[in-house]
Amino acid sequence: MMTELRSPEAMTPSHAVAFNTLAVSIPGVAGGQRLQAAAFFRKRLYVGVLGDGGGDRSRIARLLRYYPGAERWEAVFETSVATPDGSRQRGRRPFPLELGWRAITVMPDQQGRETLCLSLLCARQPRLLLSDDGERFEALTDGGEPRPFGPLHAFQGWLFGALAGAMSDGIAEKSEGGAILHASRDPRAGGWLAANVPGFGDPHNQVIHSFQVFQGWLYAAVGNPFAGFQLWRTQARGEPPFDWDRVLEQGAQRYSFNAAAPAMAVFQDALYIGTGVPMGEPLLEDAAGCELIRVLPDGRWELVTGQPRFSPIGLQVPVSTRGPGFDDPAQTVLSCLASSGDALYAATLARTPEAVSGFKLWQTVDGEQWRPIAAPTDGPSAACLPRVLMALPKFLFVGGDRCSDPTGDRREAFVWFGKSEI
Amino acid sequence: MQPLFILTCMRSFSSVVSTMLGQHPQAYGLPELNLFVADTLGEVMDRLHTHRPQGLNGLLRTVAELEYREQSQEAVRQARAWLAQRRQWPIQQVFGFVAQRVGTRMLVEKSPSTALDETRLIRLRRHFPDAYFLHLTRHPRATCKSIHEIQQKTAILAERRTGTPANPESLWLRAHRNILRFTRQLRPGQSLCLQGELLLSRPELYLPQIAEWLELRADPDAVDAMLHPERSPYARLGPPNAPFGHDPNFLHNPRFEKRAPRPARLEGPFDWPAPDADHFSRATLKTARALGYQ
Repeated sequence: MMTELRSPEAMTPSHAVAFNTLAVSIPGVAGGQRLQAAAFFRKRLYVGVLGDGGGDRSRIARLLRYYPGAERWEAVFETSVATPDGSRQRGRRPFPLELGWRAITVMPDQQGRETLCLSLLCARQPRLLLSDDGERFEALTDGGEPRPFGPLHAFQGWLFGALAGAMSDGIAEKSEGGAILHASRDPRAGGWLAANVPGFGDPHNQVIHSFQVFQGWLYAAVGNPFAGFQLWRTQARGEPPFDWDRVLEQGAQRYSFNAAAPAMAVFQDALYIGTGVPMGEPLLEDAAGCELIRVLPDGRWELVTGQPRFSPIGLQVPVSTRGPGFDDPAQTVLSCLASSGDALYAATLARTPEAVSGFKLWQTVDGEQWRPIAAPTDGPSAACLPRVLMALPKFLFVGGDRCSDPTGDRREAFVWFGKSEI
Repeated sequence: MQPLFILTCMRSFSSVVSTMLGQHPQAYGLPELNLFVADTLGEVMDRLHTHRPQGLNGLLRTVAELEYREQSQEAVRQARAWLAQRRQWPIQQVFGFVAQRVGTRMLVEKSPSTALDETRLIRLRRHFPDAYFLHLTRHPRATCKSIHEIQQKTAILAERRTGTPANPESLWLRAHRNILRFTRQLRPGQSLCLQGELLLSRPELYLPQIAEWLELRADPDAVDAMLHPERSPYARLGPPNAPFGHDPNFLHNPRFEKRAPRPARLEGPFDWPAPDADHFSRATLKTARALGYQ
């Protein structure tokens, strides 16, 4: 059993998705900005960007809304005071206090009404924002205490939030004792309750990177740099803390080479999981190519792309016949997954401890045969960093940022709208 | 049929594992040939004679068994002469001779010396670019303790040959780093990694997977054959002029007994004296975790 190398023709990018580039800019705002999160809400596209604010190196988080007809962006929320970078204290290097948007998600209620939920992370004032109309935003606290949330997800009438943990040097770090999820039936009223035991019982389970709902279960992927990521699931019955079942452990038997799983998506009766250490967290010098794994309805898992290996459920050989990083070991992070129903899309990053040197987009219509998508990078792909992938039928949205000056310090947000020929 | 090379550190179950796999009806298990320390048979013999004379035992027993149909003292003497007449042979030709004698069966070879030096791994790949490679691991704490014990047993010989024995942790780390670097360059599926503890505690689960990977039969008869390493012609002490070729403990007791993994942790002080440190280094911890040890 050896995976044969693919022919050059098979690696040629397809043109199954034709992209248009859309600049993300609003009048009167100078300086660079990074796109961090996005969601469709009430048929409008909302993107969260972090602007560098101009010459004083302060940072402002803005929420922008796009009007397709008018082809213009509008700022619907921004942090009221520019937050400067932290000053040097006790010999530590300066770091930004404003980290920007960690999550934007839509929460439906029992009447079918939707609420836009946003997590804004700032060392001084983390905020959870809610909006019913996309115009007015309510900053929530719980008993006067703001909660720094990372990923958010709505499930069974609960809003789940993964606590971002303590911050140091500008990086949201692990929570003491392991990753903690909180859940609330009514975020406006507060009442956040711990939804799991810290770290699911393992203090090395440090950060919850992604959520996904699949066949009546909420799945949470938690990073563990010591033993490899774990995948847990709950039906959220009764009151928190809920009962959780472990579905995967030890990085699906690839151990610390699969330290984290930053992306999940449901496609054709399977839950797809992308591995790799996400941006903002330290990467090992010898990081391996990323993998794509899928969990089937019966709880078994299969390797879609990645390193063949032995496992407690049998020999795992990639069903796509592609090795780590989709046959490119330099692609160390599978950062985004998105399903349109007809197709599944993936974004991979060629990330080293020093930088991201490129990215690739991939598409499949059966979950097994993957083909690269040519993206309109307007220059070398090394300059672009896709951070958000959203798919609708016959439509793909890629949001991210790219270098806009030779030094690489200044970045500008971009959005690609792609029309799929599938 | 392409051969299978087991790459590992010393004291990591390689004798029992290679012999078990070699008992598959479509395979032939070899003792340690130590061929990849040099390019020609003569160079191999000279190097082993200088540094580790018993390292030639496996090759002598193999030639005796395959060329002279027995592993007697006389057959080993004849084997030594046979080798001396072929000093100019490239090591691939030696392997070719063995392969020709065993017919269509898959050769299974393990020589822990191969992984200690990257040039040996490069040589191995140059000669066998399409071979299978099994990266066999054992918890570093158990491995290092075992290395220390064997060093104690052979302390007098070791000091006479090389002075201070090698640091067990360094040996473990060097071998597995070399193997990880080497296997990264291979095609997906050409090399798989397995904890020896898992294989020996659940052979019914992992032996069929190994057979499937190697595209060999994975039926119950084949698995049962692999559970009897003692049936190998090399699973016993050889004649006095070539007694080894495998771990002496295995040669004394080659029967397989399922064994539960002994609990071991990476953290904590060493169970053996070490001059420079009493805990595993960060490099060792990182490599061990990448191999699934905690």
